[in-house]
Amino acid sequence: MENNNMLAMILAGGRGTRLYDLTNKTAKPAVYFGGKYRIIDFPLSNCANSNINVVGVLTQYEPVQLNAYAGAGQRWGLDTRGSGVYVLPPSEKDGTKFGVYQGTADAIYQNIDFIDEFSPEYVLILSGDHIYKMDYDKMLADHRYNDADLTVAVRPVPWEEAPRFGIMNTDMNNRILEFQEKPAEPKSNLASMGIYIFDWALLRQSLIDDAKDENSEHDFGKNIIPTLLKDKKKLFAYNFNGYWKDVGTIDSLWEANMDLINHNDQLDLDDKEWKIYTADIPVLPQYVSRTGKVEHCYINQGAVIRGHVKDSVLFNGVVIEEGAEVIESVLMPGAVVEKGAKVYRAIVADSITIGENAVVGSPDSAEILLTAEDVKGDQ
Amino acid sequence: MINALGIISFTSPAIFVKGISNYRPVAAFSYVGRYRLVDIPISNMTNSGIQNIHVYTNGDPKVLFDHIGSARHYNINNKHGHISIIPVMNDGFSAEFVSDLAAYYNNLDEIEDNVNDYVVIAPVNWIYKANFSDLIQSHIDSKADISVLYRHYDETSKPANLLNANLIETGEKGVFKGIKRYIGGPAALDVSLDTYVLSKEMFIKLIREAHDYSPMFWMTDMINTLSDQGKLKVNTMQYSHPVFPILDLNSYYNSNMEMLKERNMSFFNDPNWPIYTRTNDSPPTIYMGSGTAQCALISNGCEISGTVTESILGRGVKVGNGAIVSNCLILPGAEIGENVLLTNVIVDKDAKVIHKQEITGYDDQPLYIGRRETV
Repeated sequence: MENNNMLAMILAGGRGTRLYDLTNKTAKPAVYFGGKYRIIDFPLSNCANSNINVVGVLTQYEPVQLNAYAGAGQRWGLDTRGSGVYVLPPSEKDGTKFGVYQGTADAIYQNIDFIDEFSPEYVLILSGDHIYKMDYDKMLADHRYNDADLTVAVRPVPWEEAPRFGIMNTDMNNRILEFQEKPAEPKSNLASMGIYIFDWALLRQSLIDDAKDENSEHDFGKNIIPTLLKDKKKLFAYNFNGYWKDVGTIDSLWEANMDLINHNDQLDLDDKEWKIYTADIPVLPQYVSRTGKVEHCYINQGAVIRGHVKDSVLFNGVVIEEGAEVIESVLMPGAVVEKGAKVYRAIVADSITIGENAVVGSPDSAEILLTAEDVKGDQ
Repeated sequence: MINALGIISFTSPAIFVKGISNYRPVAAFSYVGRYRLVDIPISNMTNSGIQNIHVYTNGDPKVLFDHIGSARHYNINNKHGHISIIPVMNDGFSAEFVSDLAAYYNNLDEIEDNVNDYVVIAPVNWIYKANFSDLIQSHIDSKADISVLYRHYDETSKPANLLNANLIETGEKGVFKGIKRYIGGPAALDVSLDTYVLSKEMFIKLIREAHDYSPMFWMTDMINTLSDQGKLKVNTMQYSHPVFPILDLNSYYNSNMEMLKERNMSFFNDPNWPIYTRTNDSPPTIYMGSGTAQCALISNGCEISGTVTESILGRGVKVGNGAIVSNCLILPGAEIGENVLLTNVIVDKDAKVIHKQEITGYDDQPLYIGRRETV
């Protein structure tokens, strides 16, 4: 807590239903991304790189894998004295029923005691399902400079897409005047990124008040922020212009992976000043055999390539056998493509085997196929 | 956890890898792109259940302190286990000629205080995969004072370069006669893997006696002397899997390149016997433009725009547009510029080959480009 007096809470409870079978057994933040990472590595690494040393991870749906993963704080360097990653599932408390988190605000409300233990001055609220690199310390500096009660990170979105987002209308000094949730006629194109810095004392009181309101959905966007605006609190927008991607659908998850290959994105994962940390797997470097051919790929250590791979992202433990072809696809850890099999425009989930000569997806399909079950070959 | 102290020994001055040796101790040599040599014996030990390890090093230990650090990445229990790095010192003089036994003598208190009953000594310059727990059992069963691991070669299986390796000489019925340095000669031979198993009690006895004989006595000298006098019963244990030596520049190159053979790769890439190393959080490797690879082991963090064949690339290597890298060992962070043609070359860490257009070494004698050099 010594660093900047800010504690981070990552909302990682979402099921991610639009990722279908990828989240059958895994919470969305634990979904794999970019050859070696999981989505939650991004907010956690951002925290570690932003001098935040206490991070609470709020889990709810299929938390086992996520708990085991996020609990090992040393992966992100969050294990020095006074720091840590704390996994916080809903828990039974005296006088309340054991329940689930009713909404984003309720999830924080149920953990007031946890936050109080560290007595932070500021609390940073993050969601666990976005791919981006951001220095929260700079955002905090802005928050302090403005003497704000709440700072909301925003980014410009194309005007035609604005009706899908929570839109912030601001004055010249970035003070938020109005908040519109999914407006039919947006007055601005600055969309909330779901990243908030609150003064803890204020947030604490707001959460307690909100919890008493039976009509509230206990949600930051729907309840907490509108109430603060109504109360004339000082809300400021913080502009972010870097790479940011919500990977909530199969298509957007695939696109974000393809952005890495094209290397023209702003998400430089080779940035020595802002590394993204993750679990390291003890395996040999990637191996391309005499029969292997790789073109335009993003490939992790431990992959073995004996076939033809083009425009694809391969995780550790992926095996592409001789004569197999993998085009414009994402293969998660341990996926195996047997001899002669073809994979086109697909995401293949971890540990899935595509049998000999099987064909998955189609080269000219507009949509991306998700393969989360073994595909039988012709043998 | 097994009842043994692991000791990682250091090489004698006879083992000298031209160029590479100028910058770091043998233990810290890069191996197959993402490892350092010391990772191999440490992983063998921790996979065998050895949790207390002393790493002796007779060179600048800085890089080993960085690399081994807290040792958590070697799967060591941070309460029961520990890895100490012990730089070899000699009263302020050059430590170059300090023998292994003299170095152990300087650290005798710590060895005596160790609670384990057995000692396993493994070198950094032999790449193999062995379960030390089995070796300890086989040593106990032999009732010998010390056991030595060796590999038998005949004419067809003998690696190209074994000069300066230690040979085990046996008499009739395979009785141990002594250990001597290989300077050429017989077609069939038993090469010592410089790996010993003995009781801690015997280990301490050898260290003390060596100190009385001569501070220049190495483990091999001591074994020869005592066994000649009939005071030491030596057991030999045969190892019959792939093993690669690092004895000079050629064997260093060959022993890396051997890992490009699939049978060796599958032997060492064993999920039940992982080789641990320190991560540096590099992203996956990207193939850009017309970049491609064939018959190659490529570490993370590389950017490949050229063609890589029959080569091993360390972390963060850049291969420019139109460059062709074949039969090369490229150490981490090196940069191969556009249209450069490299064949049979070892490029040391962070070197840049950007101006010269074509560099070709010989098949049996790779060229070496020094650390941080710009060619």
